[in-house]
Amino acid sequence: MVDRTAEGHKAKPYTLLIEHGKVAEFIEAIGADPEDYNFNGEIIVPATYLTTSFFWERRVEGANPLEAVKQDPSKALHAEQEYTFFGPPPVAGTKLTCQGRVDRMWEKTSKSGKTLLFVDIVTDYHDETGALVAEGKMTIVEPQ
Amino acid sequence: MTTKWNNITEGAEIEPYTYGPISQTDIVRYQGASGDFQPVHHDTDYAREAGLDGPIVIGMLPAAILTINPTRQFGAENCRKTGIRWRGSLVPGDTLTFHGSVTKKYQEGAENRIDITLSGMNQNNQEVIQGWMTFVVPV
Repeated sequence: MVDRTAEGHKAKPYTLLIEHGKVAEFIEAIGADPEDYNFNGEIIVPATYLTTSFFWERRVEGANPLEAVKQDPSKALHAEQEYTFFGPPPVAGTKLTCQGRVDRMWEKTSKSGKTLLFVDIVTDYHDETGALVAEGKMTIVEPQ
Repeated sequence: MTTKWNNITEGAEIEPYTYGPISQTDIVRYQGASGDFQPVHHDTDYAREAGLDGPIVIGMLPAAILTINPTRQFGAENCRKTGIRWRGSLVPGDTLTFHGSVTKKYQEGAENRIDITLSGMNQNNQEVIQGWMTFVVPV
């Protein structure tokens, strides 16, 4: 049973180190040309690279905001994903502090009359100077 | 060489990009790179127990492929937003083709920006993913 009081829950922060080898592996795995991410000798991460932060999130107890929502993982679907960058996307070598929260929960009725519960999980990514460099928004939908 | 501001018009097409047929190895390689080892994308027994015919493609793989051509055209350093909405699933053997266009050319503060919308179709011309991206464009 989903916990509607989870809206607003802030999870524990965790650290994501953007490693050169991991970025190179990611670029190869999507079939892109590494040259397209080479900028003045730095490697810019691909636009969806911050999805790798889940690896780091799993290693810190209390860092996954979704735990508070108590969804049924066999029914919940990843419906949308969005990344916003407040300047150029980060480069390899950057250390980010990441913190996720349950930003919004709302219901919609599907065309077939079913109640669908939507959850927005927002993660803020700050660099070592404390500047907000990116925001990730994951929308999950679960039929009720 | 990325496209310059004066050479961009609203409605301009993004060069189509085709990927596939998607192999099970493509999926496993992406899962390793991303760190998401959800078994429904590579374990046939697990996928069948979940009521599927077999493994389905991990959604974040087409989400990443969608960004390749716009990134090449407008520069990785200029990307300010990328969003994806999944409309259907893909299975190994499927081929994906992305089409897109510049939907808006505008100024925000001192920056020149463009919005792009993209659509990913399978080999049967069914839309399986929608995307949107924003880039700043140097003059």
